[in-house]
Amino acid sequence: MINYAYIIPFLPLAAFAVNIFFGKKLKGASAYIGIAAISASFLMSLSIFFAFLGGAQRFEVNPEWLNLGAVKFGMGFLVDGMTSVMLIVVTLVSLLVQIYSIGYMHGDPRYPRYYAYLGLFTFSMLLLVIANNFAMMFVSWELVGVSSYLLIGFWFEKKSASDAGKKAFITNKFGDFGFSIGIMMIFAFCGTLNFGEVSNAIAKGALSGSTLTLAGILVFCGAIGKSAQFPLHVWLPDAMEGPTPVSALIHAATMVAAGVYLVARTYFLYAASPTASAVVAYTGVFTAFFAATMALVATDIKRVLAFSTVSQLGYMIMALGVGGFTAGMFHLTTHAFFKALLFLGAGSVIHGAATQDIREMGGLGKHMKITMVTFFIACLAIAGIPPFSGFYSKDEVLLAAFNYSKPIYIAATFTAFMTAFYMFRLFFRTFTGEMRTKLDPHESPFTMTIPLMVLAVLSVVAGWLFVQGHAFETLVHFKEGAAEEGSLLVVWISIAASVLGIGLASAIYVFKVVPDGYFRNKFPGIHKVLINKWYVDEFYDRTVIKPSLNLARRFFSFDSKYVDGAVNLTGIINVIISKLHNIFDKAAVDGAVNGVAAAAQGGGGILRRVQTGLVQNYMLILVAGAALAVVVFFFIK
Amino acid sequence: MMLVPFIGISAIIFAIGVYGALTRRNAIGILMSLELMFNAANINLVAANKFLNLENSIGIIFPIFIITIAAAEAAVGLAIILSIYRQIKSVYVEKINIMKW
Amino acid sequence: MLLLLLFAAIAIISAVLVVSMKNIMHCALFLALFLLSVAGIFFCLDADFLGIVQILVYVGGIIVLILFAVMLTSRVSSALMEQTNEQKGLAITACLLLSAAITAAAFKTNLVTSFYGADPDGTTRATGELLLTVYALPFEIASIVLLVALIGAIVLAGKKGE
Repeated sequence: MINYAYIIPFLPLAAFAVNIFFGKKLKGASAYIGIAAISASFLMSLSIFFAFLGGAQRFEVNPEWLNLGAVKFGMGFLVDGMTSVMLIVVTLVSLLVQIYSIGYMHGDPRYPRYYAYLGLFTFSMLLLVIANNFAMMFVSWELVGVSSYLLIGFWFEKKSASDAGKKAFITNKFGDFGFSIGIMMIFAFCGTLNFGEVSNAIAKGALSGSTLTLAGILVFCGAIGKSAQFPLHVWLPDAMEGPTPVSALIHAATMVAAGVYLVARTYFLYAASPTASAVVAYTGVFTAFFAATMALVATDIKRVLAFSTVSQLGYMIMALGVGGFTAGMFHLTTHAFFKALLFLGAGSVIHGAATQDIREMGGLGKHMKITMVTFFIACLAIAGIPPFSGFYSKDEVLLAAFNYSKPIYIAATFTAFMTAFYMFRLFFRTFTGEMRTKLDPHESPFTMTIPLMVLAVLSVVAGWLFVQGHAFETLVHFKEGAAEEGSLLVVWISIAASVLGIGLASAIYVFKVVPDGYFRNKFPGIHKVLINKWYVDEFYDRTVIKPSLNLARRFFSFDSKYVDGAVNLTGIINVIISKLHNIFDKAAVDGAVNGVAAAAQGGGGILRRVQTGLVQNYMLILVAGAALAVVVFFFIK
Repeated sequence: MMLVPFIGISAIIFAIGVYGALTRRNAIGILMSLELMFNAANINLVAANKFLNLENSIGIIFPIFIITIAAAEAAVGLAIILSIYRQIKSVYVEKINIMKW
Repeated sequence: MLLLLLFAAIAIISAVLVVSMKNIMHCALFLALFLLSVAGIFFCLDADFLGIVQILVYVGGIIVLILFAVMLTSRVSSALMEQTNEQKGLAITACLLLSAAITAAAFKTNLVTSFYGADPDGTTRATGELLLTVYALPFEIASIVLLVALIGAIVLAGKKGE
């Protein structure tokens, strides 16, 4: 089955093709085609996963794609333990999201196209996961970007949605710019783009020192863009304009994880350059902290979850940066499950209550039991309460941070505290207490609740399942990863932080110990800054967007004045030249032709006079000729 | 008395006949010039016979034949002229130019 | 000798007049004179039979024929017209050239002279013998030609529809 791993991405691609071309005819059936394809991919991924659990080795196929003599490019695929885990994550979450969407997107006029785009996205993501060289990864990276643009801006009639799609794509592009330069650097120094070969080249020293650091940081730029790290995090909150299942798939589980996966795949760059990994680590921890602060005050369900995603991604990136390779990937896996659950649950709330503002909600728990329970489980997981999955993965991340740098560890722990707080703030405000506005909530259909339940189960068990027998470590490790010695101190501190967070949230929102607007009124300045997302968007607008637009406008006026003027001028010149040609043609060419005719006519006119019809003229010539003949014959010898 | 003067006389008369054939407008005039030419040839032949003592007196026999043929040809020519005269009521050769361009 | 020169001169003069007279009738008459003088030349050159034939056939037959034709085709307006056409100049040039060339060529040739001794009784008997023995075939053919010409002339000049 491992040999056929390359088929896995192409099944959703086939679903995409069918839905795109025949969607109008299929209507509702398009969902089943997509689900069928992704189920098949999931089953294949499952078998590959069990194969690796059973001890299969790294498998790579690299057929030659382009042979330029000195350089050869291959396009193949690579399957190892990490790949198998990612395959499971992507296909499973994608499958659950597609099932969920049957209910959520019911009645949407572009229903088949939605499934087509989901198929395209899944294809791109799976291709990225099995890529074995930088070129293929970059191509699938861009494909993922395009698919996310299409999906975020799915309801493009709303200006905010189409703007959000553009913002996502363009912000990603900034990161991709650095990424592509990094790729070029790697190619220049190592002469190849294949991951395995580059790793060998670096070990031999083809790329080292400051150039290696620079290459590592540039490649990381791609991850900054795709995984919404500071300073390219701005697109993720806006991307909530897309349908909620899309947010679950893309912004919880898979696409944003692509950046983390990239760093993991190219870890040989960061392992060899302490500076680069330091950059990665600090970026990650800063983002985690920064995003958590914004989530404290957000009032839209999906926005809170978006900031939470950015924060958790920061955790994963930080983990990779501080050397916790396995920890980072583990957190990615567990986060995929509980974040997807959170988003789908939020979607269920939105579907049932028809609002997204938590200030308008409250007491929904009475009417939406399944949603409440599953949401609660997810919140416990993200807060890191044992024995839920989030506890195990977050614990490993904090352990790695502890062993690397104490300041980073302190910041990470404080972020854990904030995470617990804002997640439970969200939960309490939405599901408990009195209904603040007149709503008519109802539980969602079972197509939506079943995925919720599946993900809830996974959020509970995935953590402790994976640590059985160091299963995750054997699958996902870098070099011979020395297992971090567990530090009980770290474990207790992290649990304490989470409990404190939950306690504070319940104090404010459940038991009303602290009145509702207390903090808001006490620190109005801080609150304003946090609500406005630290004014990052305004900053970009002033420094990047407006100057770009001005420059574009200036270029446009230059273009319409001079370039278009030049083009018009050439047009006019052409007309003049053609008129000259016309004259030339009439006078010279036609004149020549007519001249020849006239000459023929004239010549003929002259020559025909020989035929006078008078015999005497002919005879004259005859006689003259005879006389000449006599003269010649007799006298000129 | 030598042969050469006679050839010269014959040549002169022949040339006069040619001149007449080339310039006369009247068709009958052309025929008359034709007779001049024939006679010039006859003179030549007879002179040659006298001064070169041609075998079998060919210089006398040949002119007989020439005269015969000339007579026949004059008869036919005049018949033609008459029939043309009936058509176009004129004997001037300038008028008989249908075969020009 | 003198006679010969006289006859030659008359021949040339009358020839010139034949081709240059305005009145066709005058031309025909001068043609007759020319033919007579040619006959005279023949007599002087010991070709007496030929001279007789010349007078009989040419002067007696052809001149009469021509005179008939002239009279049948004469019109009142014809007397006022030019008798020669516009290529006079070129024609004179060509004819002069021709005559000069032939004469000059004659001077160049070296012909062996030997005189012809004619029969004192005249050449008639000899000519007759030759015509019917050596030149019998041409003689017969000539007669056929005459016959054909006769018929042809009748057909051509006959009335239409007969």
